[in-house]
Amino acid sequence: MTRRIAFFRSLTVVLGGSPSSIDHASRLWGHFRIGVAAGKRGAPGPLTADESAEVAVDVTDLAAGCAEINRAAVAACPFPAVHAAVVQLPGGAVVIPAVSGAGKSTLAAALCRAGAGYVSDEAFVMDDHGRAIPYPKPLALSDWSLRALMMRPEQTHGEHGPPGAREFLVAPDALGDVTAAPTAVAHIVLPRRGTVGVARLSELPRREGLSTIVALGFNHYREPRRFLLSAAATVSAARVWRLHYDHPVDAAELLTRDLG
Amino acid sequence: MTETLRRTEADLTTVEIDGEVSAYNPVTDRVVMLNGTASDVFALCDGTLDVEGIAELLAGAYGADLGEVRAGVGQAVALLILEGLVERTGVAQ
Repeated sequence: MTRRIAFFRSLTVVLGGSPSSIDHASRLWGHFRIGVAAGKRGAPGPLTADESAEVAVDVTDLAAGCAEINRAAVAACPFPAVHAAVVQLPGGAVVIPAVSGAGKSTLAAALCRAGAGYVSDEAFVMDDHGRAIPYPKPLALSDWSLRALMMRPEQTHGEHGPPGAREFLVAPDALGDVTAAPTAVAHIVLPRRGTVGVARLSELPRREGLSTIVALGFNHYREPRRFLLSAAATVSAARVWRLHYDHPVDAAELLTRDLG
Repeated sequence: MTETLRRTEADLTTVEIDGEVSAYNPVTDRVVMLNGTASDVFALCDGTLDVEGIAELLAGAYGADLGEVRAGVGQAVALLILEGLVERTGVAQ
């Protein structure tokens, strides 16, 4: 049994495995077109990647399969992309750039549970106007994150992964609304987690946002000019903030209140 | 005689945000982010001025001590040359 998922009009992932694991994977990646060949419809904008690319992923091990799908999708992304969580508030998108393991997924999940729309917990994908193209991949949350967010395991697709690195897979729509269209970026938030008591925001010069985005690019080396121009378009239209926080729920309350 | 300064002929891509220039140099494959003063120096590297000429202009504009500005301009020019954004050329008039 196989199913197909199309990403960015540039990649088709063919799922393989048991019917049950394929159903789970299809549900988790449900915000991408499933069962449609690449190159028909999708996110707007110019393409540079091979539109006929296709990879097969075995999702019998759901966590490993989802990680492989994510790697393939990001590698095939024809737009400039940056390590970041992105959510949508009423005033526009909020981009939270950070390295892997910094807590982006938990913060994105907390923001969505506080009312933000989900755009991505992984990649800020920029169109040529600096807007955020949705990449609503499933979230992988640790046991600690699930407890911090007061979520139950029943709200997830179960715990997966190797011992010592197990995580709960969460479908984006389990958290609330999922943003479907490219969105102008209103704020760039640079997170710094530590024991700070009350979460707080302080505004930074825009150059801090630009330097962070440039430093955290996934694929800047492919088209560096385009990457810099898109990043500058984003930063020019946004305000840049430093977020000091301890608990992700406190941070989400602060961001939705002050930046919403 | 002193040499004037101009942008290199590398096909630079530059963006400016809040008066600060960031430049991508395809020769070095690097993005260089300049602060406000370095951005002003970069803008004045138009092939007609040397370090002294740029320093005099900026000292007047900033209302600052010429000696201090000259030292800062010298450092900025050294960085700009190192990064391949600016080169020495010609002779100042």
